[in-house]
Amino acid sequence: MYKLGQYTPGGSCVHKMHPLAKIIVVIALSIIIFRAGAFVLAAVGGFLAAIILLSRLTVKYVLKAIRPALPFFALLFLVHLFCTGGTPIPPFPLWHVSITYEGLRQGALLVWRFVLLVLSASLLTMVTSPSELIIGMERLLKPLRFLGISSSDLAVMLSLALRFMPALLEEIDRIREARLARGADFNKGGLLKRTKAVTSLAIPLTLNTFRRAEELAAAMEARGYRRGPRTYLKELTMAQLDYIVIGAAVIAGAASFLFF
Amino acid sequence: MIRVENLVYKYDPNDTPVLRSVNLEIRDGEYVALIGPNGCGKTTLIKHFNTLLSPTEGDVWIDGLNTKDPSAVGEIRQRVGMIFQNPDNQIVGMTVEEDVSFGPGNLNLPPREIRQRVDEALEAVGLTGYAGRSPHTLSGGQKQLLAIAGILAMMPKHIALDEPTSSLDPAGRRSVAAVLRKLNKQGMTIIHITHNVEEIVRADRVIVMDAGSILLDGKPEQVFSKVERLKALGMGVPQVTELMWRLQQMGEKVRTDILTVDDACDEIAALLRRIRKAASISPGRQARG
Ligand SMILES: Nc1ncnc2c1ncn2[C@@H]1O[C@H](COP(=O)(O)OP(=O)(O)OP(=O)(O)O)[C@@H](O)[C@H]1O
Ligand SMILES: [Mg+2]
Repeated sequence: MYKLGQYTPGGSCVHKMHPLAKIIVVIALSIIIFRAGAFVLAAVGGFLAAIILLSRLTVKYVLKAIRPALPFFALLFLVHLFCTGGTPIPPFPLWHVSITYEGLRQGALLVWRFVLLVLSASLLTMVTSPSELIIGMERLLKPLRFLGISSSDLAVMLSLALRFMPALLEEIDRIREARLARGADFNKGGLLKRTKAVTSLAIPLTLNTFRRAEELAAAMEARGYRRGPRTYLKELTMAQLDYIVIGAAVIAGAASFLFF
Repeated sequence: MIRVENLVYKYDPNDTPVLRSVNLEIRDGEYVALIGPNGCGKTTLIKHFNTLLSPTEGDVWIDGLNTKDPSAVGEIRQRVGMIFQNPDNQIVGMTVEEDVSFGPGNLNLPPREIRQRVDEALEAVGLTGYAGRSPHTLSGGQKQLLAIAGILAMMPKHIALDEPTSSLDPAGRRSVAAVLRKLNKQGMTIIHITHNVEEIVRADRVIVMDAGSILLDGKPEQVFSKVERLKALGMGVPQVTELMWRLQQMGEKVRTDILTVDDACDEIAALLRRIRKAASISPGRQARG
């Protein structure tokens, strides 16, 4: 089964980079993508292409990540194309409809921005294992302890959410099948009836999830879990390259935030 | 050593107690099977062993540490590992080795030591080749072995297991049983809640609970020879034990403290010899008389 931005193990230098560095780069990229003009956006595209090559992923594989968002992109583009004022492109305006050079440019730019954004986020998850991502998030959120929030607690929560997502989906299927076996039909009847059928799944699902959570909590406690800092099997250390990358990303992000 | 003194437990202050004054002593290195009908309080009892529950009245002592003592909780949880029925709800890691590392990570051990413990634990349950796998790709039996590995990485002295094999097929059940026996040989105390007769028979000691108290406690042969009482509780006994019991009910002089086919075979053969001997002697007597 193909999942969006699924982790593809590898030994490239991009894979080996510290997850914190990768996360900061993606954050900097998102700022740049929304602040910069066409020229810089083209450069960001080139940068991402370089990363894809460096991580030894195939372009085709990475581009699959955009596919589910295509209808959204198309809609975004068309709205801009038709609804932006300016110089009409001949043979328009026809009747009341017109498309403009400005709309074309703006729509294309915005779609390009979103494409870059989706690409950089899915690239991150493709070259970083979920557990490394969580370690990276933990490091990133460490300053929150000044607000009394423990980043290691957040990290455990996040990893549990990721761990139980497949189980939850399986559970939905199971409940649905049990209902179907007893004669429920989720595809018949009016909208109201169908909505009711689907919400009837929510109650057992919620109950099961609570029961599961209770058991899980007991199992975690039995293994000595308590809130607060903990250690990991893989303690990742920052290399010189990671510091350089983080420095560059912070400078580039801050600069585009302040000066564009 | 695990010592339970006059343990009373109520889930709700107004309810009748679920455990009624339980007294129990489990020595280091024992293999104890804890059995009893549904709802008799087995799970409730073993949850006291690693402070998941705290006594309403009475005390539970683990190696001399009282489970009511808040400062001992960490130490006790490390000493008593706990395995639950559903392996799916005990696995927290996104890979097999990460899951095993959860416990040692909670102990704030340095990564090098975590690595060592993870490798040893996976080796002990025979999952070494699966270190990088995602837990949901394992079979039920493998998941339960993984849960055991996760406990072993804490290096406990005692392990309490709550029906660990009830959702497994015979092969999965056998592999879990083999690992438990190996650990017990290495000196680990095992407290095993089970409804499976084969698993009970292999224990050093069987404790039968009913309605919140301990009814029978002894070697498997002793406990199972009380066939009537077990049957009254709606519990099964090994088929060979039942066979011997029925023979006894029919007036034959046979032992009923028999659990294995081998022993039953010996006993029945002895019975047949006695019958044959009696048959060969009595016609002779008649001839003489
Ligand atoms: N969380 C709870 N709150 C209230 N009552 C509970 C709770 N858990 C168990 N009980 C009650 O306590 C009694 C003993 O339950 P326990 O789970 O210890 O039984 P058990 O011997 O493990 O049974 P089984 O063989 O079915 O697992 C039961 O009557 C049960 O209804
Ligand atoms: Mg139980």
